[in-house]
Amino acid sequence: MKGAMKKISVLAVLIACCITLSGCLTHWFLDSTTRLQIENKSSKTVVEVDILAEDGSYRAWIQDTLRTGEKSRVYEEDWVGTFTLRIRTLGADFDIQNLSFDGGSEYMVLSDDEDGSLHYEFK
Amino acid sequence: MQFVLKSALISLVLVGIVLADGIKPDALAKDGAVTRDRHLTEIRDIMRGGRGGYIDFGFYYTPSREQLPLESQYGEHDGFAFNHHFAAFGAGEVAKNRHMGALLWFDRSGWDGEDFFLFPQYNDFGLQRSVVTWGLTFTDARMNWTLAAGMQHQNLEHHGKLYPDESDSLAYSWAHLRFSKLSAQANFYRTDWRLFRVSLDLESRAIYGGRKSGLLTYLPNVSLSMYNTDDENDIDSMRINWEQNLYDQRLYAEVAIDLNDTWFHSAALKFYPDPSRMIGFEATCLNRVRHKQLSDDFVEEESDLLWGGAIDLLFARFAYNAAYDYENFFGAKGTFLVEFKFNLATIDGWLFNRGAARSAPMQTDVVKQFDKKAGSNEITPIGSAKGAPKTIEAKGIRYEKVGSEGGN
Repeated sequence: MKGAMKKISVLAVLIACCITLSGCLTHWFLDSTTRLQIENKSSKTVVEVDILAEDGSYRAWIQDTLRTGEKSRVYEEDWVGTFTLRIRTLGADFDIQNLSFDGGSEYMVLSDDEDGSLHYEFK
Repeated sequence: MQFVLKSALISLVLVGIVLADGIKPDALAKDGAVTRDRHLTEIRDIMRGGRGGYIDFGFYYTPSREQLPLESQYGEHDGFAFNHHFAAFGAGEVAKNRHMGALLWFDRSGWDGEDFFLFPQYNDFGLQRSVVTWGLTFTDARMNWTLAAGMQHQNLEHHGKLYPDESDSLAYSWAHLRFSKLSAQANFYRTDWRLFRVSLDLESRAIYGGRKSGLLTYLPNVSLSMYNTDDENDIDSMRINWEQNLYDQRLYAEVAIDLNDTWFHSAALKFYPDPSRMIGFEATCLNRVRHKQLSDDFVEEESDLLWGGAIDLLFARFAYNAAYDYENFFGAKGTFLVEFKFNLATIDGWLFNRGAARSAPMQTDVVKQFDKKAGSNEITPIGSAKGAPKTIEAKGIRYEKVGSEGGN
């Protein structure tokens, strides 16, 4: 009987551990939203940053107009995972495929590429 | 050896997490109907006896947020699919052989950006839904029939921007009528029917007063389910489930057949080391049918077989690609799933797991222990060797005649 009680209490502790682990604990060290800020060091004027869908539709993330040398405000959205980012500039759109966001603050710097497209870098 | 086994297990789990497939918003949107149907099949199993009690609770545990990402048209969202469930049934004898009871089944499931137990993140792409099935039961144990009826409530707490509109509904009703081994179930949404199910549980089960062995235990359990998903009164789909005892009520085969062009839906081979089903091993095969919209009026049908298995250890269930999880956990596949859970049914003081044919061996253990105790209290002559026949000489033993009441 004592042995059974011990087994049950061990099980109870195990289950309690799992419940605590399952209760938002990963949120202590993982961000579940992404806060994005963009600095435009390219020669183009960025008018919008969107997340692109498979069917060609999109959801806007940053709608600030950024001339050369300007920074956007910080926008917090629920984009955590792997997505396609579309950067709309005056004249052309640039898609960044399979861009992965792990959550938290992201500071993206856009600059001119040698072949005339945009180059991006996270700082 | 233990180290090798442990590292093999850990690497398998890691591979399972890395190679996991995302779940589709479509599967999340449809899960309300799936859950309501599952509640009613579980209630049917428990109503085979219609008396005693039943308790069930559990939740899936997915430690990594890359394990079951949401695969939307935008890409792959990191997060957690979740399912918390609870069920209880209890009946009492109100008159001789007449049992009245109440039952409650509860599921909260969906997908969220955070893992949680009570308070989700409710992000732009999550979906949280709860389904409650409750009812009252009446069983006449002598005539062997049961009537149960109640309501189902489907409540969408939150849905993100990917899902079709769904209104909360209190307006589902259900009824279950069993006469001996034949039972019928109906589920309505307002005045439209959603489900009719006829089940023939022919297998002889010792737990309900049937045979422990013999030919009668090899009779099949068959059910026919008819579903209607819209307001029109036609049948949208039909499924036949066949459960067959293959050996000693420990080895079962289960086959599900859809009555449409695809026919084969799923098959499972289940092994329970004990017929009480406290522990189970299963290998499953599921026919995945996907519809690809090629143009407005041309749909291509693709299908492949999903092989998987699961181990059920009473308090935890470990599964990989198992048909049950694919159907009831939003098409989760390609990953190892752990479900912490417990379920136990009781009837006349005997314990078993839902669907079992015989009671748990714990009961016989109690009897054995009792015997042992009685044995150790026996008078053993001093100096008698172990194993030697015990002899008690009748020296001065006095018999007392004990009256039937209160002694002499």
